[in-house]
Amino acid sequence: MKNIVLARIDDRLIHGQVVTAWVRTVDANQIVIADDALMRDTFTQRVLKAAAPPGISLEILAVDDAAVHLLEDAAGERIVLLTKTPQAIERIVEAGVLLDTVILGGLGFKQGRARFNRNVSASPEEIDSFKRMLDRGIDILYQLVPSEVPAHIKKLLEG
Amino acid sequence: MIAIIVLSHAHIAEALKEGAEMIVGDQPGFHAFGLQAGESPDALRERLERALVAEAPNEVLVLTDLRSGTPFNVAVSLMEQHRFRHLSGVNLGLLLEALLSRDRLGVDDLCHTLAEVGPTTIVDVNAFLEG
Repeated sequence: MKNIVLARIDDRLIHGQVVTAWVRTVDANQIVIADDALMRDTFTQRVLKAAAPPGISLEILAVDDAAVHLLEDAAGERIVLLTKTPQAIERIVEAGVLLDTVILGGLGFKQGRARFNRNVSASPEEIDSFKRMLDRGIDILYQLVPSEVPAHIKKLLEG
Repeated sequence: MIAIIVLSHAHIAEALKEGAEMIVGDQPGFHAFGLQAGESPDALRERLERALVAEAPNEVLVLTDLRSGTPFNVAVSLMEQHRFRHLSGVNLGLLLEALLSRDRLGVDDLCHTLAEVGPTTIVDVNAFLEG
């Protein structure tokens, strides 16, 4: 399995300087975006490629393909895994990828999501997915930027 | 950690602070003061000086919105009596870079980094997408 130095849920994906700060902090050399819908959106793929920090390779993959990629033998990669939803991370875990910790960045408010704080809203399905991952023993920490003190998501979900 | 003080015309400083904190969360040691229409520069100078005193002995970076504008001149007027770095031409990208880098750099290196990053915060997006 490849070395995943950061698994992060953030529906803004590559959010300019925020991702750059994370990449710097965890000393990553590859970003893997796992998202099925993006596979049909070549324009957004182009935007994301332009937004990737210099010197970092970017792989945009369907969730199942991302899991396959991550399970392949390591070749010096230090990977930041980005998804828009907890369910995508959960599918990757179910496929056999081992993760101790998942960092929750932002999930923007939209129809069907309840707001937990200024940057995190989640739907009942997303909350269930978080809970299943917590039950598997994965730590899920809310942390927007590396300098912020991470907060355990349990507190957030229980309000 | 390096304290950051944004000085501007009108509400630009407060709005930049609000915008930055929307992206990177609430930030300690981060002040924003605007010179409001009809207000004397002395009022802005007092607010800046109070923040400089409150932040001592932390290193301080002052970011102003416009070269040779009144907030810039106010900051310059305090540069002899107080020790801080002053960069002019703040925008949201530059401010984020400052907030995200200030815990790993000293104030001189932070200023060098910001001076390098500054031009890259201005992007011809059509050309950018052509890659």
